[in-house]
Amino acid sequence: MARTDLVIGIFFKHSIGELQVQKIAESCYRITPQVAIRETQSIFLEVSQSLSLFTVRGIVSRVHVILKNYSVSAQVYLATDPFRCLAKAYLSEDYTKSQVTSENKIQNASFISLDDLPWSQLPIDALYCFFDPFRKPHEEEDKEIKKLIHLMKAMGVLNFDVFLKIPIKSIGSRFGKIGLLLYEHALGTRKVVWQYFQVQNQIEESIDVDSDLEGESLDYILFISKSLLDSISMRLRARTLRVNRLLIEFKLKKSFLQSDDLSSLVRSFDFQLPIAQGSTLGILPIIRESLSFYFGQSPLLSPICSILIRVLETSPGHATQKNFFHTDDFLVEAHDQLLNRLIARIGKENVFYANSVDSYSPEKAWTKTLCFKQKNVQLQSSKLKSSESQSSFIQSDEDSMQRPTRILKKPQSLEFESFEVLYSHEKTWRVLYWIGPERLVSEWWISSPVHEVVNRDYYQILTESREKLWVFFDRNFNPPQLFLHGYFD
Amino acid sequence: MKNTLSYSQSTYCFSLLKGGIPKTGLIGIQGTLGSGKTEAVIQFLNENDKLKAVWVESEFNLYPQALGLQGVSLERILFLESSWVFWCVTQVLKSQIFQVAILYHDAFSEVELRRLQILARQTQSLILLLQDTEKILSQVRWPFLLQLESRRTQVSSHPILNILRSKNSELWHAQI
Repeated sequence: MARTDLVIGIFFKHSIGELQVQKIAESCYRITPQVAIRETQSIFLEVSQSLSLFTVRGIVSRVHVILKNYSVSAQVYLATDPFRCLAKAYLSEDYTKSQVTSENKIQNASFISLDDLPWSQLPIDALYCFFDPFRKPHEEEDKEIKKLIHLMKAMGVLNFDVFLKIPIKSIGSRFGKIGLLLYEHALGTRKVVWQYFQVQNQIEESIDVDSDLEGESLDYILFISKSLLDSISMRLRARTLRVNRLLIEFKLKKSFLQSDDLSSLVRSFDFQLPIAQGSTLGILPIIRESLSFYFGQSPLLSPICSILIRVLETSPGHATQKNFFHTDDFLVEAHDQLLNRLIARIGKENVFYANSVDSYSPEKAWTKTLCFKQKNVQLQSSKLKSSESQSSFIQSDEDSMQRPTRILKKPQSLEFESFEVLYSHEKTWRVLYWIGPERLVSEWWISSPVHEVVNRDYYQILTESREKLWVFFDRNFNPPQLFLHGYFD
Repeated sequence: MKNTLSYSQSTYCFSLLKGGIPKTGLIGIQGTLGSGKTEAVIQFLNENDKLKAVWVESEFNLYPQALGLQGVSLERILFLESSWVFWCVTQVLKSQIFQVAILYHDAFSEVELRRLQILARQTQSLILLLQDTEKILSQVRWPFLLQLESRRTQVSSHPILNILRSKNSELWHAQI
């Protein structure tokens, strides 16, 4: 079954800049890729293909959220094509009154509720909207259309019902080329071609700040920055992107500065986010932490007069819709935000998951990672066991393959005189018994300096004070030297 | 009896401690280096394989491979090394992603311990504080819901936990 076309028209009540319209259109890109802009007046969204993802009500709500975020008031209309959408807007009282300065105001248009009115009863004034929904008619075209509408009224063609009953063969000869075009658009036999919508290359938002009183306070700056970040988040989400690197630039008021140095008028901060973020909630705490640190080191010398935030690097975002019946998506986002906050404060090398690695050397048997990839690694320790019996209390069992829970960053040298007593520079242990040995030899086929080659006999020992230690004889020395390497804590 | 039942519903199972470990609160485990504190925690994580935990140490010397070898999935444990242990654990627990925080830090003041206790209650999470008996500056016990001591008898056996102090001693019995 063919799906009915559905077009949403966003008509701004007041003229906003071209850039602002472009940004709003870009934010709507999330709803549908079929976006068209009619100069600085309106945006059209073709949403019939998006109805498998969203409901009509959901789309309209999203559009309202976007408009609210940009603090723009606009009328939103739904129709089966952009012509009818435009006609609805032009014939509505609110919009037409707000566009009194517009040259293209429909003369003498009666304000009617189009929801209850059948299309056939549409006044002939609305024919003006059936020329091209995506651009204003040129001066000559404008004159010709208005002349045509005037002529039709004079001929008694007062509504679309009468107009569409005129045989198509006689339209060309009576009303010319434009008349035929308007007729076909109104009849629906000629479809409008949607323009290709191109998003801006760079995502950046800026705002001018007026306040002299609070211009230096971090809270005030964050408050202002939040609205910019909201807009940036929307534009990123529309492109299914997340931000990796962000530039924030503050321009300071010159009149408050004592020095004439122009370089001190601008303060820039480059934020490298270790984990890409797609929402204000994730970015703002990192900015807060960093700015409070930077401003603590070097405060702003003058109130700010403008803030600019520019996205420098992005990475692909979550393309799928959030699952409202499962919290996994929210947890992933919250998890990424948490990691970013931690990394911003304590450093990237201090926040990690552990990943097992195939290595014979205990020190190299794990690595730090942030993106965990599950890997079933079997410990491949060498199972060579010394054949020589060391003493009566040396045991060899399955426990010798255990690993300590704590490992020293650098093995600590021990004095070895007998198997009963061990000395370090700070402690003496009386040994109850030894378990082992477990011989570990590192990859001999990889050429490395002799002191880095692992060639060790490991033992677990239990001391009289019930501490369990992990020690090894380093066979690179002759005779082998004893080291403490870890604790079974 | 009614009390015991309500506690049993809000505890994690733990074979080293009859009655399990409460799901919310600050619990101290102390012992000398090598006495088995960390092994006890690893066993707890192994027995509760759905729990996500954060492991914070001021000087990181944990050997994560030991956790993997004892059957604990490394994917569910986030490791942090920082001297700002309190800040880290606050951030992590407030995010509500991790249910358990394991801290290895000896230099907590009484005020900080009290804050940890409140944090655990507010975030409905469990904080396990591992402390080296030889390095504990002062014996602060009152903020702990349960204070345990680990010790060993034989090399191959698991560590044993003794209850030093609990706010409701009738509810927990050490597994001996």
